[in-house]
Amino acid sequence: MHGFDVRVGPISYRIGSAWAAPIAVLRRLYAGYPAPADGIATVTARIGPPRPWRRWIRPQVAIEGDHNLPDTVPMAFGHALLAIEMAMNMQVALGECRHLLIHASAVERGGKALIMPGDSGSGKSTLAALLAERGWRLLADEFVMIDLATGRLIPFPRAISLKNSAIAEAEARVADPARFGPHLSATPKGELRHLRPNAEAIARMDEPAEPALILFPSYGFEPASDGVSRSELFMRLTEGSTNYIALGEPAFDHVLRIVETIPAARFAYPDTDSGIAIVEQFCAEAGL
Amino acid sequence: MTTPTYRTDFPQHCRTHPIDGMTLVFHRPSGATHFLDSPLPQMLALLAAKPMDAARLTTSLCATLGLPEDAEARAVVEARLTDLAGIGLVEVG
Amino acid sequence: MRNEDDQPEAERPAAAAPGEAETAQTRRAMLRIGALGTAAVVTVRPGIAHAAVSALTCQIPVPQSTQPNKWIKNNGDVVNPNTGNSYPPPSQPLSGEDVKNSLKYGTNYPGYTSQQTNAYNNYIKKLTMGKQGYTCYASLQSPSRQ
Repeated sequence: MHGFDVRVGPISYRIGSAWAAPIAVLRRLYAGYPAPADGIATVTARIGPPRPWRRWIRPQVAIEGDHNLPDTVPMAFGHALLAIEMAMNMQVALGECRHLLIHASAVERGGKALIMPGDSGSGKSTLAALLAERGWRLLADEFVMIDLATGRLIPFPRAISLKNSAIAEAEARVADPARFGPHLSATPKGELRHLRPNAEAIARMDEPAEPALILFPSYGFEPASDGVSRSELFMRLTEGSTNYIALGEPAFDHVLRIVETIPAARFAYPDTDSGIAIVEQFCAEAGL
Repeated sequence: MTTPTYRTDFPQHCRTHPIDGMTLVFHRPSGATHFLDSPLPQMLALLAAKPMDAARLTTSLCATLGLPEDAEARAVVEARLTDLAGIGLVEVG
Repeated sequence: MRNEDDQPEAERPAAAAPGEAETAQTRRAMLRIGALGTAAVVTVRPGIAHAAVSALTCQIPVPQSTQPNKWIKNNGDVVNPNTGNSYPPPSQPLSGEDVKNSLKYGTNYPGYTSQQTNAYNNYIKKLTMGKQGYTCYASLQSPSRQ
């Protein structure tokens, strides 16, 4: 078993793989990240062959760890990095109990956080990645973590998962090619390339932010914006939370507090530049 | 066959919060969260005051809401009681 | 006026005067009480978390709630009442815990015969994606939960 330990915000990972190559790729992608405090990893994520012989014959990778879901299917070996990333996500999604998880990206400016929930394809990752190259700090790409003690947003700046057309957009705006992972083509999620957050996001990963604005982006439509009702906001935040039910009443309290105190809106945008312009306008109005 | 009586201790064991004209409920025994739309909060209030069967509840509810009591109202109340029993907010017995 | 005590003050639209709000609410109640097809309870069900956490607390309706007055044949098919080798459905949805025990240890559902249990289990095994109870059945099969 080949291994790599890394800390991302509050999560200390021990990552294992039956093969050496995916670990080498992961080490490059997470260059500059700290090691777990005191060398103790709290979350284990592994990939291995689904059947022993699959290690050598047409290798496939399966996800393993402390928590498992029934519907995971083995993936092609060429997508091992995606499998590791998914394993890292799944262990947090199913195991995290100190923070409320919301499926969203988030960026910060002046201590205030903009949270962008959204389905796959909404552009939440792309917008967060590009805002983080122009004066914002990346807090999260996939999971927003709300501290159950303070209500603050705890950064979890994992590598950003860029998909399809977002890859070229990021390549055009990020000067350092070393921050990109390998091109993964024809994955279950389409074309995929990971982007390491910039040095500031990594250096300040232990600095929380105050949730201040929630925007639901929709990519691929003419510019439009609209309010989101409190009840819809509650529904959408909880629907996208992997541990809302497990956390029980404290999670209810925190979602309710967010819903009652933080302004929320949805907007549609036809391309990334107009999306960023709309976000900046909303943020100016909300005082971010 | 006796007609079932419905009872509830709502909002005991619950956190409730008004939201967009509905009642948001966190039900501690099940750990579930529900949005209750009209006329469920009214039905729960009536049952909390006094356990009763579906027919009496229909009469009380229609009186409370100022609606005519008809077969459809009775059917709706019975369906909603099934919903409420299903999520554990009313007890049948 | 009569439902004044039933609703907390804040449930009324903030902008409207109390009288107007009440009229609006009664009108909404009228619209809704007549609408059987409209859900009046919406339960928050986060997808992945729900499947993972509630495997044993979830329920499987037999048959679908859109199939009232149907019976279950011994092979699991949903049939008209009194069809040969068929049984009335359970009066309540089956609990995930009972389904797991029945599938794993062959226990009967409480209050039902072994023939009925067998028919219900055959019905459950035929559930496909998108049917009520499928997520529950699928989550029961997760190896880590057996």
